Amino acid sequence: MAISKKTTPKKEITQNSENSEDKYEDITYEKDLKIRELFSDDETQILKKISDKQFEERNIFELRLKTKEAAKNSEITELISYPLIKKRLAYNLPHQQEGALRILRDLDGRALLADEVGLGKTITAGMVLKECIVRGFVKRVLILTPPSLVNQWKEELNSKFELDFKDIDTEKDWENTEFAIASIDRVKNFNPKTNKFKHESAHEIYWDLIIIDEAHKLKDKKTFRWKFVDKLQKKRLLLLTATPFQNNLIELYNLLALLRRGHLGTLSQFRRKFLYKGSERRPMNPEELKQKLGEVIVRRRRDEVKGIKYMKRIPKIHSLELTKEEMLIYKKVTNLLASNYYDFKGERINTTLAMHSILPKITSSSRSSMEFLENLINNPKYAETTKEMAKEVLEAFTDLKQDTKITNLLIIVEKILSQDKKAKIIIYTKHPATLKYISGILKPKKLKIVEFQGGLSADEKSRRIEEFSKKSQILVSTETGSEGLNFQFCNNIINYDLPWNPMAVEQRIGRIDRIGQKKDMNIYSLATKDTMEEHVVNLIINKMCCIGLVMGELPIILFNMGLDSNGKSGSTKFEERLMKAYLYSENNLGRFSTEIEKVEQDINKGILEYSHTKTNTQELFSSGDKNEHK
Amino acid sequence: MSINNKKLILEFFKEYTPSEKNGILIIPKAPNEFEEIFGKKAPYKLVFSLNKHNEVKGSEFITQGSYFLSSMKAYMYDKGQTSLIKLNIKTPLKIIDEIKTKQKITKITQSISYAILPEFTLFSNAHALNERKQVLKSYLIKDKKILDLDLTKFKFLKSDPKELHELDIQKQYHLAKEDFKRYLHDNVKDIKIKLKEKLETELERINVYYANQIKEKDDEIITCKKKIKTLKSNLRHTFYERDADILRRNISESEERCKMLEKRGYKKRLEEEEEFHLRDEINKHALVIENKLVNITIFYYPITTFSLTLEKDKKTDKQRTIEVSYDPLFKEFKNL
Repeated sequence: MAISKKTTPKKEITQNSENSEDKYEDITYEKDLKIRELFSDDETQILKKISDKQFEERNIFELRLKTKEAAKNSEITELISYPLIKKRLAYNLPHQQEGALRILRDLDGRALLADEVGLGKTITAGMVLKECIVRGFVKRVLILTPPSLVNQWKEELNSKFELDFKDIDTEKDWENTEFAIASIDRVKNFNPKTNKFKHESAHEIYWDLIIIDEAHKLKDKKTFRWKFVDKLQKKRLLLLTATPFQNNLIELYNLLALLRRGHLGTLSQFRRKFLYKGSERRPMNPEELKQKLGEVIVRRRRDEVKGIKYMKRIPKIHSLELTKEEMLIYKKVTNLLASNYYDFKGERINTTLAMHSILPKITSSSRSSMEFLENLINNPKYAETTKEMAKEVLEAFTDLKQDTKITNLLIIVEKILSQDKKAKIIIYTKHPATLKYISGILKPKKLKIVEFQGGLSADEKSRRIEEFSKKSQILVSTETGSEGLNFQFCNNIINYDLPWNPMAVEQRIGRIDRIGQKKDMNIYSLATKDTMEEHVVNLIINKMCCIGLVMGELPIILFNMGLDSNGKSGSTKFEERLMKAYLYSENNLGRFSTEIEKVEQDINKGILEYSHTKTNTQELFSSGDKNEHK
Repeated sequence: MSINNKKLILEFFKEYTPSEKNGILIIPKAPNEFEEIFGKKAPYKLVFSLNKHNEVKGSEFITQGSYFLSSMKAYMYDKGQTSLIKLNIKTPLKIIDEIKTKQKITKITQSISYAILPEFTLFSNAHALNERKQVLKSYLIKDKKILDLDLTKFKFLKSDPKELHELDIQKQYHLAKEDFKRYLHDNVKDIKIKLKEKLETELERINVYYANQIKEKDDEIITCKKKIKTLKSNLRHTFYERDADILRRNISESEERCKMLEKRGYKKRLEEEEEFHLRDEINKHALVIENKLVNITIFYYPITTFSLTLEKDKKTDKQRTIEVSYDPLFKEFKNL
């Protein structure tokens, strides 16, 4: 063994920064074994109590000793934190507890959790985390996720595990943060000028547990992403991905090198033992490889897990034909944006950022469109000619006698309720103004309605959820405020307007597409004929969100394609592509449609690639399950 | 120590009138602080078997180490840190007779003061990966000695802190703490052995991996150099200029590659990487021992001080007064 020369025994006294401020630490080595002895500062406090002659009854101390003994649990044979989690989960899936136990007990907390999508890897990882906290194993935890999932993770950890994680945004955020969560895309940034990672503070911390979601992106050893993770000091590492094996086995080798360096030998040894010459996809000794993988990977298939039913998403797009007057207004508004949108200096405003904030508003409802125009007229930063045009459109709106969109909404609602009197419906809109407008129209129809939007207190939220589940028929909601909530008792969603971000749409659908949903889900979406909206709705609903993917797969595909992170405008790169298509088309619908088709082709490629990786992973693990479940 | 969980819970909540019905222990109320720790407000339905737990909706399953018991432990965390106990020990009257037999005394006066015996209870939680060992030990100390004495055989009286003078027990605490450290290290020997074995395997894996990595790189250079040698030899024997050109190009390429391999400083880089991963494993397998003083109990009892006026010395015609104290616990006199 060469190690001894590298770890000269030493004795040092340090302030312990890892566990608690009020402890001091004595570090010694016995050969290579590091012994950290911590002394609690309570002694000062207790000795002071004695000198101040403050005493308690002795039986209180004896009771304290007994509770200490009763709470002692030295062996991990069950999840002692489960009763605490259980009450916050809408279901009980034994495979999640079994997975968490196996990771902790058998794999010492260093594992790749490769369950198929839909089995709740986040919950299993949360169970590992909570158990470690309850048992006092961990004090400093880092979670790295794709950009679009940071908030979802934070929300789930908070609502299901009562854990508060702090977002890492700037370099300073690492200081004194015990429970940190960060977008891996943000923290992996490398500065070639300084030859350092921008967030290198993360490397100075000793983490008790690190969880990395969608870890298949760590397949390339040469990337800064891989190097950033490799440099992190960690006691336990949990990698999550449903597709650890993408296209070649070297990628899987690189992934496992993060978990246990040398577990599969050196790269040359690995090639010699497991790879056919010229082929990096098919393993040469599959059984032996599967056995080695089983020592660090936990993987379960959907078909072997009981208790989960996967229901279908049925897309129902309602194509609306606007009246002549409405179409005229629509054209005027889009024309205003495309050709007559000027600031007070007379310069044209056509940034993606501006478009992103305006376009969804004007396509949402006449109410939100009017709100936008009113703001424009009263804002001194716009050119007078633009304001004049806005006034003209606003007048036309005021004179409108019919609102085709809201009329169609009523038709859909009546149809659903006539088929099933007990049906529940969630109507989604992006804008609070539209929410009020819809409520105002529906309420006089004697429908039982609950409004749900951001800014509600936790108590008020719970009250409204209860009201919707027990008494009301319809929930009119904006996205903000309903994140992470479970509405699996409802199977109808109506997208009154649609965000141009498929992740936001997934999250809408995700409220009802959850474990526990018993019926197929109807996804209604309103789209105005011969407008941009029609094309965007078709792309997002028909080509992305309702194509038979399991909940959680679309975010992976977008992450793989790099379309889920934010672009320069602050919107996701996917949204930016749509906005660019709009700007490029210059209000020409045919051109816009061609651009959208290009986006669709790219998405199809992403889906196909993902589908290949799924097949590859399935093939690799298919006959190895016996080993995994030993 | 074997704990009866039900009995313990009854004792813990005794002021909150717990009751039992059909095998369910009902705790109607609980301290607010406990409710906050447990994360749920009372009443609680406690059951002691899994079958019953599945049967009774909203029940808490109580088992060794369960969350309810852990919450009780957390609630008690800083409670009962100091106690004061007065021992019911008196100086027997016959002691005066005993004194009288030894000295010729004209006058005896008595006064009472109190002797203290501090008892320090120390707790240690040694853990690493999934290994865990908890040690609890109490030290009763008199002067500079650790006593092996059972004070529970005495009756306890109502204590009064006012009966005691200043309490400075720093030295005794230091003695207890040092002994506890020695005791503890003997107790965690088994964990250390397990950890050392595990760590050795992990370190060996890394050592082997990097040794092979370095060897592979070395081999690559050797192969490259051999190739150059062969190519040069071929060049010497080649007949056609066209072949010679190809060989010269190959030699130049191989030399370039050889130079590049050597220049990259792979050895240093790999060694640094190895060092990092070795440290990572060492930290992962580190044994963490958390020590804590959990309680100090001051035992005290009266000692009698006798002021003895002796008979006049015939030679000097002087009368002496001496003070003797008697410790009834250790049954010994002390000349003051």
